[in-house]
Amino acid sequence: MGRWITEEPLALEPLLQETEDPSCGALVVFYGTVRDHNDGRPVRAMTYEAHVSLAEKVLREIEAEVLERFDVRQCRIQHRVGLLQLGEPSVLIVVRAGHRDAAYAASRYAIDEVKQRAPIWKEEHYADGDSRYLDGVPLTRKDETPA
Amino acid sequence: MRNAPFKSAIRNPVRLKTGPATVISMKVKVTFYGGLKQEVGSKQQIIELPGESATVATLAEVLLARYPALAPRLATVAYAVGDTLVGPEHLLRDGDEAALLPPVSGG
Repeated sequence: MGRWITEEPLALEPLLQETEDPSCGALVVFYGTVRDHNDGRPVRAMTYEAHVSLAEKVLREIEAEVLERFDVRQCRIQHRVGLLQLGEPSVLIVVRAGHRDAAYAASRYAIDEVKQRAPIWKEEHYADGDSRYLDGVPLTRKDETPA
Repeated sequence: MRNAPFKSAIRNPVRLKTGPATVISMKVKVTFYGGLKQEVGSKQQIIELPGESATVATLAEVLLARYPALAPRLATVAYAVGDTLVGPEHLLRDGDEAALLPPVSGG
């Protein structure tokens, strides 16, 4: 666990301080939170699991890509693991840019890439006591074309 | 003269262990993520593989033989050694820590 993957509840304030930048006129914050239903079934909680060392590497890479591809000055991504209750944030993305267009686009890119590339899995716990790992996106290596 | 081979064996006891009957093998710690641990029944297993090194493809074959329930899942599984994604041709060494990563669902 470290700067990118944590068991602690996600906290916005430290990331805002870390990314403070007076040259930026736009700040976009994205939270992903635990929803109370999926595929028509009531959900009561969610367990997130990560391959921690690989996930930290991937989130660090995505941050670097965001800075490279978009006209943004700051990007931080954190993902939580463990048992999360309804409404709790599972992922937090902070982007700061000179202007809003780049900030919105970069934030969108970051969450899309996290969902495709981070080795993280969720297990939904349903109101009826059942639980299930969700179907997801197969991981591919950089030198490999997706199937 | 009749004692000579015996003496020689005492002098070079290591040679006895490298005879043709000795099987060299290696061990890899394998971690199963997401729903895969339900197919396998545990999150981690030490897997013994033949030879001094073996490919990830060989590991997959050994796992399939031991855990047939993995069969429908392996087509979409990715492999990591340490914190690097690797392909089926990657060579594993004794003591490596490998991971089977099913399709991801973070966010």
